[in-house]
Amino acid sequence: MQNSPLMSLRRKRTSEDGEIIFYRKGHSIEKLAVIVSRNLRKRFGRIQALRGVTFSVSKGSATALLGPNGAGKTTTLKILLGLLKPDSGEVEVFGMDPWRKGDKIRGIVGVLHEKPVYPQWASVRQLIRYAARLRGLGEMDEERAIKLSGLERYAGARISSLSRGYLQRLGIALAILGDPELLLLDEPTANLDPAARMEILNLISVLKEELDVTVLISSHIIPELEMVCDSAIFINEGLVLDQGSLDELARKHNSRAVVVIRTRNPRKLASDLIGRDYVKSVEVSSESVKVEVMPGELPTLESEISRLGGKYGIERVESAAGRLQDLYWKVIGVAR
Amino acid sequence: MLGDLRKFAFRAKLHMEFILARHISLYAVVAFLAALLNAYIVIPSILDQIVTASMSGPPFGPVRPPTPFMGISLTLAHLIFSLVSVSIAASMAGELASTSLFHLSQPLRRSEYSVSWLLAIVWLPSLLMALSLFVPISAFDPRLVLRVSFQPIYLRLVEDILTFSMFCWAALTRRRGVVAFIGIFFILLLPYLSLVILGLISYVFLGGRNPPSLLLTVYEIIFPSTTSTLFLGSVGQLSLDPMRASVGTLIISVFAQLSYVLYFIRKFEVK
Repeated sequence: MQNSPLMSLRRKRTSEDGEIIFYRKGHSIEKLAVIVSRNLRKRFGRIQALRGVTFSVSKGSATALLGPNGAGKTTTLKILLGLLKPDSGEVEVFGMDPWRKGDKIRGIVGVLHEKPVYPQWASVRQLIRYAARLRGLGEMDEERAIKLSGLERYAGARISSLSRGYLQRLGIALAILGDPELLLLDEPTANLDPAARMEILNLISVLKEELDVTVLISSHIIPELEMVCDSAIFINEGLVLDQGSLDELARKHNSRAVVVIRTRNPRKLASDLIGRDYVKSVEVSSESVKVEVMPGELPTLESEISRLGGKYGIERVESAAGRLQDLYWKVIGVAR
Repeated sequence: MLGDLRKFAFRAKLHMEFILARHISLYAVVAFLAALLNAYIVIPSILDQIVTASMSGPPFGPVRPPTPFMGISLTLAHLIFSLVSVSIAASMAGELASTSLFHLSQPLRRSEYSVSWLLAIVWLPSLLMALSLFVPISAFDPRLVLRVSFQPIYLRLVEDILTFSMFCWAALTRRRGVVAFIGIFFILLLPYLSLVILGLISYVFLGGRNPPSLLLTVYEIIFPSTTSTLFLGSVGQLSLDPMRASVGTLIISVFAQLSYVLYFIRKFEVK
């Protein structure tokens, strides 16, 4: 990926053009945190949307924001962008208060809302150009966003003529415009066909891994989140129930993880793995091996697989019953 | 500080261009038609005045009082650009209810966003109204501009700036219907309905005497142009000279606009 267009166009932020100072309080969890929220509360009339939300998101992580409908995910994202004012509590994004310094935060944060509404009369290019100019970006950035989101053929089309899937792509194009340091994505793959979903998920992975973009994704499609996320925040009825890296959470909640390894030598691989003490069970079929590992031991299996890849002709590794799915039911299910 | 101000102006201009882009050609046509209409009414009237004056003195002599046609022209321009202002305010209400989530998710401050709408709702129609009156006359002959009395135009503009400022507040309800209702109420009903109420107060409670001067002063301050038009020839009955009343109108306009921007900055949330 040396020649990735993302890499070549990446802006280096220096102290002269506003180096981002990350939040530091000496507290381990808050060190290098991009987002810090403490005891955040928000009420809409009679509904208490947030009842003391506390969490942090560390730099370079991809965090899943998980919870049922009405849990407070969208309200939290809107507060992080400075679109809503919290009733009480503290929130800092890149060390800034979103309500007071919202424009600065939105200049370095890309966002995709759950149900975005765009001016119907405008064309795709008009809208992207407007957003780019507000960020002080040029035509090259516009073109890159259009290209990466797969909107080249529809750049001149009116927004009113776009299907829901292409509207979602437009949202992605607007979110990745410029070089966001942080992506806030609310249901990013909603309304997309399977191929487009994979494209978007790959794009998120590229942004995260190659450009060190911090990602906070709210979604109901847990297997997809598992593909890109390395940590999670579980929220329900306006309260954060738990948060941390997937490994930490898996250990803490005794969560099961099952992976399917596609290989040319399933029997040999199975007999090799069955003797490991971190492997709970192994199931062999004609082309694959299904392995369940002890809670929190998935990284050990992953490193083992990469070591054994050549030896057993491993073609692909898929998550079967993901940790995240299991964790979701353990954390949210218990709370409910 | 200067850089911040420049950034503020750039973003507010960008947003204003974007929100007006959809209807800018319509507004241009409306302004052009209003200018033609004004030219058709005012220019012959001024020329007629010059011819009449030349019978008794040199042409392009001292400035004459406004012709009655100026009043018709002003009223037409007021109605046309009030409708323009209401339609822009209705667009704002629609945007606040829908696409404001997109706009305010961009690096755009709430102050920049609200000021750009303020400029579009209040100052653009007022500017177009003034231009539609002066441009055709000065295009015909710049010297004719001096024949026009500025006071009625100034009073009309001041009154409309206050009325249009109210439309900004109406837009904050996020309902187009409310904006349309308030627009019609402020343009067509309130100036005359208030007079009827003042008359009733005078007739029912004061036995036909003039209404309390405080009420009359408030009316004059809110509607300096309507007052000077309706009380033309009997300005002596007024408790304030319309030009002095207009100072109060300007102060209230500034307060209405500042409070709208401050409310937006401190309280407006995108739900």
